[in-house]
Amino acid sequence: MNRKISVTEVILCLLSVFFLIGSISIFNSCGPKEDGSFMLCHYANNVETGIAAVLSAISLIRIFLPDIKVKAGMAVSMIPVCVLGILIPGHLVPLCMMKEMRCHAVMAPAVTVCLVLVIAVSVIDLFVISRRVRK
Amino acid sequence: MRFERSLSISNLRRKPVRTAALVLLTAFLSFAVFGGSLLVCGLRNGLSSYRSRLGADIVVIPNSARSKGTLDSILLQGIPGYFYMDSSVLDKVREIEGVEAAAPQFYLASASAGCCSVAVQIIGFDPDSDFSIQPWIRENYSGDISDGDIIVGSNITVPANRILSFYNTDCHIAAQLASTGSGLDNAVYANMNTIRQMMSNAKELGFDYFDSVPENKAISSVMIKVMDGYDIDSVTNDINIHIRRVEATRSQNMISGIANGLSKVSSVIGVLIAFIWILAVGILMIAANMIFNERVKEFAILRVVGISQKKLCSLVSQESLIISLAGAAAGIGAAALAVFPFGTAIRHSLDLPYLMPDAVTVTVIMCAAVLLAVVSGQMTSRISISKITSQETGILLRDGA
Amino acid sequence: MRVIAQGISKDYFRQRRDSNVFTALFPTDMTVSEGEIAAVMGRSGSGKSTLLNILAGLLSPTAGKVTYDDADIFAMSDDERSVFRNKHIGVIPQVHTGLHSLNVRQNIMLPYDMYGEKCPDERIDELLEKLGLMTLADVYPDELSGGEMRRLSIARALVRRPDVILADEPTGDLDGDNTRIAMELLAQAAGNGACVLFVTHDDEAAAYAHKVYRMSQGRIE
Repeated sequence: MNRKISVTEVILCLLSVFFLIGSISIFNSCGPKEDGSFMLCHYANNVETGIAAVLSAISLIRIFLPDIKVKAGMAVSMIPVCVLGILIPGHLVPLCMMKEMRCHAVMAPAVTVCLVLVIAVSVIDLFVISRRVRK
Repeated sequence: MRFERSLSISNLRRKPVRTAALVLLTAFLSFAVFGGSLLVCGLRNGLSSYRSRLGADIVVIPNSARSKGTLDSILLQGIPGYFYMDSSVLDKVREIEGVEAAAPQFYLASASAGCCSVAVQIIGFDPDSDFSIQPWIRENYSGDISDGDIIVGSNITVPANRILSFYNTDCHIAAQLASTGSGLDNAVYANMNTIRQMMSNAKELGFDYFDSVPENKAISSVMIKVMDGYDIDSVTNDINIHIRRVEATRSQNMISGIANGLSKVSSVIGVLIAFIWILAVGILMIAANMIFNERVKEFAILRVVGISQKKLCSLVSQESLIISLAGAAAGIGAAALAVFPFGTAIRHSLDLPYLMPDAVTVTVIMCAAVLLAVVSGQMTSRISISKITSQETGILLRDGA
Repeated sequence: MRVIAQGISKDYFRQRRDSNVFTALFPTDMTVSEGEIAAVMGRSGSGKSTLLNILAGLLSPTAGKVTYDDADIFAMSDDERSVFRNKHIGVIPQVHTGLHSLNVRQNIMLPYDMYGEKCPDERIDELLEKLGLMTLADVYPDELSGGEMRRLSIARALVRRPDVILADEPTGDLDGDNTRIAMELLAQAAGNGACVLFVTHDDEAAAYAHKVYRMSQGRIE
């Protein structure tokens, strides 16, 4: 049992929450067409928002969990979720036709950057946890 | 060497705030150098690629083109547009003295394509006379461009069935072109018959773009290659004088506007990099001076225990090297995360051709950024080193007391 | 090993009204032999630390020379002198000296680690035990008191069993018991053949010396 909150888990939580807020605001998908219907990227964006919500929930809950091994398990679980998130725009869910459009130019790169950072911080957090366990 | 390395790592780890501040400052420096240089290189690359793709000495467009979106905005920014003139202009141009080759092009803006609400620029060319588009296509595609085939720019996503439909004309995507970093990447290229089919389908669907020019006789621009020995400006003037309702522009003039914009952006970035470098080195020097005063006693103890000046200098220099490398890695990583994924967004916001440099250039810039961080770090560590070597340990002990 | 100082003096250049030269140490001769304990006493500013730093090769004299047996310490290059100091001289400086990045045990091992040699664990344990630092072995200097830091300096100076021990107020921050322990350790080193010279204001410490020099205004009286 270790109740000490590490800097990495706070950063992880902040990144996940930033990803959640960003996916519905600063790096959301292209707007609706003139007839009001949505393009495919809108649905990719919806899935990303769902993933961001899951990551935020996991990272927030683990801050308050006392068991360091459970914390480690949750950090590990975040990594495949992030990989899924990176693969969604353009790979698992197609985006708009023009690569100049918002979903290609802003949404997809922002998602990749945010999730790569989440993976990197998760790995660092796991390293910090393993050192604490060894101590 | 092992002792110096392990002690320098312990020193850095035991003072995390000091180390983090120095790493952050170096990261800031590396971010500016790597990110800024990549941006400048991308812009230069974009301009040279755009210049080579334009491929003509003179471009002739109808006078009315000015009010319907210029050729510049079509070719550079990829904003779809259209304007038409009678194909008789082509014959008149060919009669002008000094014209070696003249090739027509056709511009058509799609109403909407596939999934998206945006229009796509469709550029048609005459395979028999074209000299500007086909050499570029040949770099990626060696087959024939038959009727109904299209070649798409690098910014267009190719659907799985390789079919795109424009004005009820289903077109097969034969190939995708390499990126130019300009609006040319947003266009779709087709031969004359395919585009005439699209034009006629468009007219049937009620789109009247053609300004009362019969669609089977409409062309949008004429690309001209001037014979060797003829002055391009004189040929341009001859066209403007002898052919009515058209405007001939030297393609060099179209590019000079971009080149001016590019040189402005480049110099702003250059000044910014220099300013950040001076600022960072200045702060690092002040920090090194303050840290030396804080560490005088530590250096004196090491001398008392028997470390030589040479070993002590190597310790200080290794600490600085570790900070520089960590800072450079962080700064370059952050810049890479900002510049590489957001290349399209950057191009869009700068409104200039922007083409990411190749891997070799990126590696060279990266090495230069690391080198600059290391050199800056070593320069500042010289402050501590010169103080250590210029003062006797007995004095350092007294000063550190 | 015998330490011989021949005519050593030290001038400092200072901007003053009457003269720009301040003489911290006037020409001095001194010999400390193997197994001998010598104490230097005197008021603050009398030149004791300057003398000790010159003998340790940490401060070059304005004139004169210092020899260890036949080796002139100031004729050596910096590299040679540093290695010589590491192998043969144990210096206990007046200031508190613990490297903040190393714990107590690592600080004591420093003379060995510096030149990639293995420090015998039993030697460290012996010094930690005798100087009452065993429970503090893993503690970093920031958490030590003045007395604990002084004992750390003593342990580090003695760990290599040096031929010469030069100590500047080795009992400065120590209580009676610890003063006794520290001085007994120095006496034990002298008993094993080391020559010991220490600067002190403490009569109890001076009582361990075979020879006491008194200094005043840069001169031995």
